[in-house]
Amino acid sequence: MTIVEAAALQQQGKISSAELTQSALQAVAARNIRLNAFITVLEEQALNQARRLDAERAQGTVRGPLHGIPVALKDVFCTRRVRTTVGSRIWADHVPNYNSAVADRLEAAGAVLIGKTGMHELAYGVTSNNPHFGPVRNPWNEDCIPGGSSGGSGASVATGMSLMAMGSDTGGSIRIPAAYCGTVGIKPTTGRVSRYGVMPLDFTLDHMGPLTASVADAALSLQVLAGHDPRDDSSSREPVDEYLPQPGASIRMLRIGLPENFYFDRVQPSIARAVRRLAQLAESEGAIVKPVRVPDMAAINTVGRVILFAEASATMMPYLKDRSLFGADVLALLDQGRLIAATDYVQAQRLRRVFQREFAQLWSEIDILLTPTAPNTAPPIGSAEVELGGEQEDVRLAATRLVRGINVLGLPALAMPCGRDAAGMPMSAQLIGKPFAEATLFRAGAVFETFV
Amino acid sequence: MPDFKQLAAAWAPDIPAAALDKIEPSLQALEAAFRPLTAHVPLDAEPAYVLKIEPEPEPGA
Repeated sequence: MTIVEAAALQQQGKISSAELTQSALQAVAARNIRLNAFITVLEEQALNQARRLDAERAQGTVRGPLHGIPVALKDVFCTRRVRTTVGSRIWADHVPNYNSAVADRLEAAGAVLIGKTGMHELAYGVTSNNPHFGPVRNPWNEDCIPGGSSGGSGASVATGMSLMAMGSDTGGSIRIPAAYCGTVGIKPTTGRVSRYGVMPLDFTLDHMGPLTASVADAALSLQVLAGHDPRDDSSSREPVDEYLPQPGASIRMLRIGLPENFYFDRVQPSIARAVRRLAQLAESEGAIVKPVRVPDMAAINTVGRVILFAEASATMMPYLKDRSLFGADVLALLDQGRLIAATDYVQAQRLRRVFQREFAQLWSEIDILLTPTAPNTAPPIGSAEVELGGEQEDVRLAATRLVRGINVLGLPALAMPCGRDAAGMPMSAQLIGKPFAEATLFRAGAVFETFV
Repeated sequence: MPDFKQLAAAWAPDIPAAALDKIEPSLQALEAAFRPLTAHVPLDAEPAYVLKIEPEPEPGA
């Protein structure tokens, strides 16, 4: 069931929030023991909240588009009186006394928080194979990773354990689990959703956004989440558009760029075919599909890695005195960040500006860029490398290859399903837009959804 | 190419030798990809981080 469907059924009096929440909790009870998608489940709190919201509705009060909808938060969002572990031993028993801006906005919009989802340790990785809380598993094949770092959020939405789950995205951590778990996920423009109260990984690359079962659900969710927050220095005062695509939304004359370079290199052939098929179908709906050459995305990824390494290690410096607090893969990344020179960090941030200007020239030719989200489907848990295009590639570098650069550029990007491969695993397309053009991405995504 | 082991000895001596051996190839690969880019930074390119300065409220305001 989608949020749109659940909201309509509630409005018609055919289902209550308590029933929706009970159903979500039943899904958790049935699936979480295998999938390990949740670190904390808030059964009693959620049911009490749902009953309160039902009572409000009965009195004629509907708080917002998520009234009575069961949702989950990645365990990186601070929640008042609810443990927030960041998937780390350091914060295993941490109970904040305040809410993140996202938690506050969801509560104000009437969402029911059913739990905190599992994740890669410190949101610093793509496997969600967490050494402290156990591996999160992919709902389509439990031997495979769900992606990360928001892996529990992807698994939760894919199985109906929640109708929406929040993720954070520093180098693809919303879009990768969306791709591997077969859900929609949006990384908004930098500054669109407040970072206040989210445990930071990388101050200048972190973004917050929802994972959902449909494009319309992502639009409804972002409508609630977007807006200025003076507590976040990067928060934008840009007015928030209407995101929900209208019924019968059209992509006629929409200029869609299909990259000639980089994005289709070393991509699983079935994924490349599925994304190109979307472009062909879009053309048949009146869109203008143009081949384009994108700037040097490998260089932009390199810039992103320098920034990521330096900022993440600076953030975690106070805790690095005790190396036993960290899993091996995260510790290796944090060690690397300590050996980045300050001058190189500054040069990387200056190069970021250069590449932003260069990439922005694309927007005179096209409205959106259509690419694969991940070059592969979910690999097995524990694998260190994947083979793509006849070459071995590190699992983390492969998963982030087509998404990391968009964090460096600060652009909005929507990941959405575009079919399944021969093994039945989800494949995903990525729609990249101009700054603050989330509404265009949702409109295109809603039309693309009808093709799949 | 920087000698990352010497850098670690100066900046992060607590990183064990075995851990350094493991991360050195990754750092060298990053260095090889990053160093040529730094040759093309225009003089007027400002770093892309944020510091917003707001006026302080007047006392008693």
